[in-house]
Amino acid sequence: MIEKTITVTVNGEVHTRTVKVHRTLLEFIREDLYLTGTKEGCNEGECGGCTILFDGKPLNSCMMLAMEADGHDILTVEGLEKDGKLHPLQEAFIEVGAVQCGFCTPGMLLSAKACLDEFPDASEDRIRKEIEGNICRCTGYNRIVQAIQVAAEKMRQDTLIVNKP
Amino acid sequence: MSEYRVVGKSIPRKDALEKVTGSAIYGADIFLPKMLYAAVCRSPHAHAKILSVDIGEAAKVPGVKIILTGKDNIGLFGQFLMDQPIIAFEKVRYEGEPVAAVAAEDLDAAWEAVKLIKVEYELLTPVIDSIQAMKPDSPLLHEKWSDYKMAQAANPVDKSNVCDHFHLKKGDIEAGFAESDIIVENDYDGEMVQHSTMETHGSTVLFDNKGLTIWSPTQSPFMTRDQLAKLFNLSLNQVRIICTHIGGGFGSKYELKTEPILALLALKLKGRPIKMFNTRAEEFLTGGCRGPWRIHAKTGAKKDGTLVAHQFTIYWDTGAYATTGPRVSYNACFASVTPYKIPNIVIDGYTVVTNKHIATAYRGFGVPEVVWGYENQMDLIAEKLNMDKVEFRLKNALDDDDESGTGEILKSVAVKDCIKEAARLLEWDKDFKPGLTPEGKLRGRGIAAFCKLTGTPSSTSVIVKMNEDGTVVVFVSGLEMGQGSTTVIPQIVAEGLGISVEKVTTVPVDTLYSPYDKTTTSSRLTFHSGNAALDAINGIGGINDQIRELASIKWKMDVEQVVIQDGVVIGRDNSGNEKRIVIEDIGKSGIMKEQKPVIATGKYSTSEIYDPPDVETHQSKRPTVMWFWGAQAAEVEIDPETGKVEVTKVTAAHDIGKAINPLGVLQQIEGGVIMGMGHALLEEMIFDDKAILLNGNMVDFKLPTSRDAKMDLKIALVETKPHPEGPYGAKGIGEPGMAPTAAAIAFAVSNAVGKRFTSMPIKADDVLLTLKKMKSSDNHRMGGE
Amino acid sequence: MLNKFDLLVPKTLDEALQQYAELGSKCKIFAGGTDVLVSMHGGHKAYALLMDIKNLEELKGVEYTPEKGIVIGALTTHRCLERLPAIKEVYTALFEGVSQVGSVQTRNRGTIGGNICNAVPSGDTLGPLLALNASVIVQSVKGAREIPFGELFPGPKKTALKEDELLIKILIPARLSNSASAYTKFARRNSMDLALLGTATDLISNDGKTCDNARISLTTAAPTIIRARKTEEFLVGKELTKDVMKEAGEIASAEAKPRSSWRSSEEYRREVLKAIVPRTLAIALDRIQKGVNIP
Repeated sequence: MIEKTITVTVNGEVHTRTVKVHRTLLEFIREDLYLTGTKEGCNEGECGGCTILFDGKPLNSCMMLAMEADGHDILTVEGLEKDGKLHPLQEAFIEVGAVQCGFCTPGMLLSAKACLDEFPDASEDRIRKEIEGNICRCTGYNRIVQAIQVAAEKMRQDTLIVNKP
Repeated sequence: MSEYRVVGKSIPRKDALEKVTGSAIYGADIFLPKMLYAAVCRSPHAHAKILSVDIGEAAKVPGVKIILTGKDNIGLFGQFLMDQPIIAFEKVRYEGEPVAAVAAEDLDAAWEAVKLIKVEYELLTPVIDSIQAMKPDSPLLHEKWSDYKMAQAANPVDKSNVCDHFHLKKGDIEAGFAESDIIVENDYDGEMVQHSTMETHGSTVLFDNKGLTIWSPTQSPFMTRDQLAKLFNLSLNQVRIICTHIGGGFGSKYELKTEPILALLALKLKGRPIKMFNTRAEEFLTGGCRGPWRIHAKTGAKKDGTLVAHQFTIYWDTGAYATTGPRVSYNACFASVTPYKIPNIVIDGYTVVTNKHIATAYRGFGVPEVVWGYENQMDLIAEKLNMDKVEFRLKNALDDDDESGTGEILKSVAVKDCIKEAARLLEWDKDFKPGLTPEGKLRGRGIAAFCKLTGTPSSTSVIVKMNEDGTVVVFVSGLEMGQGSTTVIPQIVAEGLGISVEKVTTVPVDTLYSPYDKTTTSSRLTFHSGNAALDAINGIGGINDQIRELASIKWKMDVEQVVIQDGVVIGRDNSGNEKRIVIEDIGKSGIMKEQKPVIATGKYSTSEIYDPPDVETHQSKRPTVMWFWGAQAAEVEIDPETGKVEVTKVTAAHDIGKAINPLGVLQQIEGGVIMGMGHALLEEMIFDDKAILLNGNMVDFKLPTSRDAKMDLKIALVETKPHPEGPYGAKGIGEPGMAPTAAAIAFAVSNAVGKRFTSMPIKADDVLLTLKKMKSSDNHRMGGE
Repeated sequence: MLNKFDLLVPKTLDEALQQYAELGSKCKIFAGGTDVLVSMHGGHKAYALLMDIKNLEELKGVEYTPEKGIVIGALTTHRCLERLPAIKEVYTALFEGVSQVGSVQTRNRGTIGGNICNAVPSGDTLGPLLALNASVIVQSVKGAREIPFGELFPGPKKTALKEDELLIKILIPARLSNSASAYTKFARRNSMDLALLGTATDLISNDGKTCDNARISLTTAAPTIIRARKTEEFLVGKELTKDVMKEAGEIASAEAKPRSSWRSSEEYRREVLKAIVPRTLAIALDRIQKGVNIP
């Protein structure tokens, strides 16, 4: 097999494309779908800049073939905003000051989302562990961790409201 | 307390929204119709003659449009010495140097062609470090410096590998040492580190009938424009640099990197944009770095702790080409006079070329390195005199009206306050016993202070334009690279105009319409662009004058009858009738309707205040418009069985003058501290004996991760000495946050172990093997000083 | 950017084994891709043919019973193991190994089978599996066989798998009561790093003081992962006092064969072993005393 026609759901939209097998998922996202929010930092799985959620799990899209996404569901940074409303993590990153150059931010947000989806009450150490694969050269991480904590609190409050009888 | 409405308030960054939604466009996010892709064939050797380059097979790869080699080179470039070819010819001088460049319809084809290019080399002896480079019998990288054009002042030593020699002299150094009661003399050094911006270098270049257009995440669009215009013999309106967002700079995106080679390709492929971004492996080879450095230091003091003499010789390994090496040396040599009062000083800086990767500016222009050197000396003297390290520093620290080591009568010096604050936050006065804790860890603490100047003279200009609805756009040509300029400048403008900051935005930088600015480096943007923006508002014919004029037309008054006070336009006619427009609501006033646009320009230049340093002594009454001052202290805990160091606490106090956006200032310092921690303990580029890089990837080059950066970090913004010439008193903070960090951490490690470490980084290996050595010799007890 | 290659995507194990029998080393097995794709990016390796084995059901799933032990499909990701209570609570050394592989992103992709077949001496799962007395089932068209972990790595970056054999599953024996395991990874960074050194211990102590049996493995301490057999022998029957454990560290350090390289010196590596072997023993002993590691 040297190419394959794939159908992928990205941020809720279904895309069908024919891709060469050696095309990485990152290249597919950036260069075929032009979702350039997902960043290439190292192309070796060592920086986390290209992190996406693949069926809800954070993965380095540079370390996957596009054809492996056939039939799967992908969330990129562009899909975090819902109905014109920012995700609590996006809000918290802005408020707390977790963004500087912003190049790691998309991947960081997705690792953070996966963290809070799995561990809504994540401790500081848990948060640091879950974002360990996302290198940030600007912030020193402290404000990123704080922002994730702020968002977690906000999401817990929102859940309480939703779950109210 | 603040008399300001907008300045001094922590506000969320204006660039954050597009960054958290993924819509911010960075360099590699540019996609253009008919775009080609480039890839570069790079030398695997550090020093070799190029015997032949065979592109025969490569040219046959389907999709390949053109392949250029050293023969196609059209000239040399360089910021100080024009010594660097676009594509190497005759010989290569570092691993990764371009030998050929390919443009093709897609990246697959470009890389396939690169792999098929056959280059024959004859290996030459590589010059691997500055020690070898300085020897009289060392191979020369460049035969004759005088063959090269000099673009800016550098002082090369012909027939040597020294591309610049800097010398500073104050007082009588020999007399100083003669009157010293104690003298400490030592060597210090550090390994190469890299900025490792998350975004690698790259650009997209188009050549068409209008000339060159370049989309690039550059820190210096105007310098890039000027150098390319010169190189390709174009006028300034034929070179257009469109700046994208920058995914981290720290100095690495200050100089030309991929632009010249892409422009060379583009010239031959008119009408086709060509894009190339470094792979991470290429980035380690060619993205720029902070070169290895060596310092020999000799410092003398009186018994009472008064410093009297200080001699510093620095060898900067700047890699294969001079690039900005001479400027790094210049800035750092000035900073080497220390933040202390010393009457007799000699500083020598030798910028040396080797067959290593090209060094460039790196957050502080050499200052963290010299701080490591001179602050170690201060520690040693304090120890010898049995003085407290804070007390010793405070005794000698400079103050207002003191004469600096560069011969300037200083103003606005808060270094004493910074030392006190850093010490207070670390609870320096509390009982502290270095060495073994009950938990079996070795603990120690250290403190370091610094000074740094901003590059002077320099100039910048700004355009401020008020829209018909009263919103304002600012054409500021300093780049946002994460430091917060797109928020700080609007704050300054909003304060100046008396409107809310929400109404003010900056314009993306494009040399086609943006006004000139020297570069975004040297922690200069807030100060310089802020001043220029205020000039555009308050200067003659500025925004305020224009508003007055428009109001006078509307109110049918003389312009002299209209004044602006506290954000309100007030007109009083001869009969005493008063009219008012609140500038915040100016859009509703109708005064701009069918009038000339409200656009003003402003400039800020430091040529007038600059006193060119004496060529022999580098003494100057005003070598810089602004000194940065600060101090940081650190506490560490060391695992005595593995040598692994944990930085438990860092306190940072910086003379910020006035924080325009305190949140932004904190961000700069926080990031700087963690970067400095990486330099102190983790990061180094490792070479084999042929100057080939061994760890050019992001696992083996150890950038701190989220789990390495956990520490108790306390920051004090010292605002006791507003800068008299700064916008609202502000000084810069981009580089200072990192300047003393590595030194403070290193001293804490030395304090914990009971032995001084002089080489950066201090790896766990060094710590443990030192402890082992100390244990085996009875002369030392383990831990503590 | 990856070089061009052809991809096989067998749907069944039989199909995969058939193809693998024909192609052998001409074909590179591709599971999570965290090692294979890294080596291909940047052109370090240029495989012409990959076989994606992710569809093979026989290589998936985890079965655990306290009596029989655990059977782990080769395609099980590190993250899946990290999040399984049986791994964390019972096979703790393996938990400590899998949870320290690369990053969350890597662990969500990387498989335990891949980590084993990559066969680097720094592999974070290898030391724990060796200490826990694991074995692997490999299969070819000719049939299946079991290889004990101790015989799996004949040399650096080499496995005992024949050219046509695929790794199918990993077996770890049932746990004995009064036993506990631990793994210590020592690296320069606290995340995203290779083990500069590592050691795993599987300890049995019926009285919570004396070593009745110990299996100790060392990571990055020799060209392959190794057992510290002299250390194990030394420990049997001894009360695990601080001094005894310290001496065990010295024996382990002496019997290891670490190399000097640009990553670190032999001398330093030996020193670190002296520290981490006793610590890991102490952690395992503590777990036995607290009864936390019992099936």
